[in-house]
Amino acid sequence: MESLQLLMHGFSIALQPTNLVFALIGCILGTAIGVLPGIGPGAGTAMLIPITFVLDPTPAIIMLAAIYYGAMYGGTITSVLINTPGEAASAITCIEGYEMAKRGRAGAALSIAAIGSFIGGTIATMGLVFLALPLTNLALKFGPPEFFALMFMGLSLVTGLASKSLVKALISAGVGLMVAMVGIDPVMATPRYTFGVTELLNGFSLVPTVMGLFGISEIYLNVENEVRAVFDTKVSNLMPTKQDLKDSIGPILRGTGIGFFLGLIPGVGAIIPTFASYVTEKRVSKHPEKFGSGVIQGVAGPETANNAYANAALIPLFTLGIPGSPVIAILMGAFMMNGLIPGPFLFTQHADFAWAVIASLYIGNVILVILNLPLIPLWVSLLKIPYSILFALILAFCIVGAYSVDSTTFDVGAMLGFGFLGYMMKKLEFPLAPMVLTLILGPLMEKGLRQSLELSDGSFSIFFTRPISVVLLAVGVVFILSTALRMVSRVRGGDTQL
Amino acid sequence: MTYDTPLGPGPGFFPLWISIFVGILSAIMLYQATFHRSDPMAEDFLPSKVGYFRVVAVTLGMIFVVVTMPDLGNQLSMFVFLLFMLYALGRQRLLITALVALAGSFGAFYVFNNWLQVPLPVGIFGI
Repeated sequence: MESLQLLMHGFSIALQPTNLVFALIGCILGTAIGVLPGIGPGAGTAMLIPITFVLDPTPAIIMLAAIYYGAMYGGTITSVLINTPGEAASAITCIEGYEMAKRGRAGAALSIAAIGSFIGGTIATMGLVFLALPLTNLALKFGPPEFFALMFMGLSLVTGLASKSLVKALISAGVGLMVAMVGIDPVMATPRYTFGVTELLNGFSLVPTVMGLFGISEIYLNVENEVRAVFDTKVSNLMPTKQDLKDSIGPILRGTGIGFFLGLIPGVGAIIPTFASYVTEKRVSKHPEKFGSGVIQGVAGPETANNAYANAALIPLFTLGIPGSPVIAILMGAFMMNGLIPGPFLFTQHADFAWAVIASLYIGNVILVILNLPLIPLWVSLLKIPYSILFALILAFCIVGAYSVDSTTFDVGAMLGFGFLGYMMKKLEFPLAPMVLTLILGPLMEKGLRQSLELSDGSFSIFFTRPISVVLLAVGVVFILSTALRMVSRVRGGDTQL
Repeated sequence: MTYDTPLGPGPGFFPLWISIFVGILSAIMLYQATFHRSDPMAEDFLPSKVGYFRVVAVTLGMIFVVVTMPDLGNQLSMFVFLLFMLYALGRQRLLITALVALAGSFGAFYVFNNWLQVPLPVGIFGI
């Protein structure tokens, strides 16, 4: 009951005209990002952080969260209409959605995706409301060793699930930690990895770094292979039929469950829930042979799972301060830039803010379902912008955004450098997720480790004498070891990478 | 960077262990790459000639901005950058190129400076 009262208070803040306007702007920008192939939610959220600098923390985070889940919605539109996912999580929707579009049923596919996303997102947010206080109360009992162990476990899961090569994922995580350590050491104020460069004393700013790793690298990949979207699908008759709705109820409910539970596990990523939902629908269907020819269950399930995941993935962030995916990590970075550390103290020290953002998730889901369908012609017209113009403008926006963080061109150079690094990493199949997560969690992990060792006079036994810490560390180690063993057996079986 | 202090681990503690960790992993990768069978290179791993040109163009364009923005100012350096990018990434009609370059440089400057209150650099020509 206490949760509901707090949520109602959150609504009273989130429904203030300013916050509503920024939720609306966030939904529109997010959908546009989702629609445009080549800019994923990560790059889009990072690129748009600078435009929130002028705002107070509450509207700023409300807008960035709306951009995040708006992008998840928007990706569906291109999957259905031009068989090109606007973001990776919508890839599976291409299979049935595009087939439906070819048969003149694009409107039904898009509307059922919007309805499913709304239901999935709303139910997952309810999970956040009811789990927020119990998880927060648990986490408030944590000391530095438990926080270090928790972050270690989160990173182990992300690293283990991020790539087909554990070695590459671990190197990526290690490089992220190294980049995070550039600058003045927080405890002794000693410069680290600065090589006498004054600009490096404050470390690399988060926004240019993630804009480079996600945005610029993606532009490099796109300009390298000229992609031309061909749009010739007509969208008419947006209302799904009664039969469509009847066929979609089961997939929507199952998609919600799948997306919600996978969203709670750090490192799963947005793609797995959609694929899991598609496979489930095919398995439970009485006519699995029809999958691939445009069945609505193959759109309703994955799209619901996608948004349920997107909202549920905020639960570990809000309650424990653990980001489960790169986009959530970027969102966490935005929290920190506004002086807010996600985790249990968010609910005790900034309760108004936390509950207003949670309430805004409901509002955002309503805005998206109302906004998305009538605006489809507008989204479609975005796809007609020539790529050369689009990429040139995105680059210009990134440059201005990176500069605006600290008013220095050094940040623009850093963005370019990280952009090239990200481009090379993507080409060589090094996953970016572990790097971004360690980049953001690195300083917190180091602080946790050093505080713990200060408490124990330098003895590591502190991690093994506290039950919660032992359990969390053990889960992390077991996961890394099991991933390593699985990979060793795969290499023995003829695969090429450890 | 000291490894240890009377209060516990020093600023060099984390960097040392991370370096050892990444060093070992790099050695494993080097060993695998040298002595194990490798995956065939992906077909699109190497970009086409045009693709190379565009990647180089984006890099050079951004280096130009980094170097010239403090002196030329945001508006002028972004205008030149956008003209170059629009030419390099796929030619459009002259009018469209000019309009997009103007909007992305002078227009964006106006929005960031006046609406978002983000000061962008003004150069030696006063713009």
